Amino acid sequence: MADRDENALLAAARANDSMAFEDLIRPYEGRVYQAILRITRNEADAADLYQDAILRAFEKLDGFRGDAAFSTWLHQIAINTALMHRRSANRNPVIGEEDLPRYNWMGAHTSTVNDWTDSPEDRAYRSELRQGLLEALDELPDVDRTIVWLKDALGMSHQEIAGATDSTVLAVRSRLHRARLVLRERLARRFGATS
Amino acid sequence: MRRTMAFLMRLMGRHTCEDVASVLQEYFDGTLDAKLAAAIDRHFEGCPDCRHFARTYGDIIRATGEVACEDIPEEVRERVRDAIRERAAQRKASSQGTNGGLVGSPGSDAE
Repeated sequence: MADRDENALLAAARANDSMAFEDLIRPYEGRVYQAILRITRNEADAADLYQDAILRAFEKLDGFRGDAAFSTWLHQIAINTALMHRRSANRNPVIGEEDLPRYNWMGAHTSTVNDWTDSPEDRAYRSELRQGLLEALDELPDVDRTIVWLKDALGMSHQEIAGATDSTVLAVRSRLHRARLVLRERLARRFGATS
Repeated sequence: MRRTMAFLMRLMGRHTCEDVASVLQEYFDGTLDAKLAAAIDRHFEGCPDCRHFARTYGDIIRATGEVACEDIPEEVRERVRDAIRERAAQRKASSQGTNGGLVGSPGSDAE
């Protein structure tokens, strides 16, 4: 969407034009809903929280100053809404030492690392990998799962993710790398690929 | 001990497997310094564990892109659209109430 279009829609939406607001959020609806669904892992909760977040954005439009992209601002509201819900329910898994790669005193791997991608284009393999990945993602802490999703699934930049998660680029990069390492370890166990 | 060993190896121009894993994000982003990237590639040539580790790490990034989805159920979209219109109508009514009860044109946002 061209900036001018978005600015015109913003002005109209701020003047309580609901149609303009609908047009404004339309390009981002699916991405925002899926980001919330990734956090909640529950479609009913995701639908409720998506509605809460969108209405909150509508109410807070005057507070949007344009320092970040509108899509980043919208994601920030949606992610905060979903994470607050999760925090209130106190349902956050933790990462243990066993979920991270291990090295010996020389900084070398403590066990053989096997390559389970011998047939990376094999359809059955990719299907199983995707299934395993979704399950492993669900076991990550909420913020880590959100960051992986925004970066690797939605292709957002580190800067955008930092804005959307009220964090810093450095923290986003650190959490993203650690989360990928955890996913790799858990999938290695699933594929029986370490010895 | 591990840190000392890593330090000594770096002095010798070599990197430990732990060093390699710590820069994989930048390696796959393409933001790693060219000299360091070349050193990592040399490490891969002699270390199948790191080669396999990097390949599986990269395949997970790729697979996450494959499960990406931007769908929203139509009933959710419609429900939220109705909620937005209702909220706009409430705000309009509220605004009119605070303006001395002026009557606006009927049937606008709330329809």
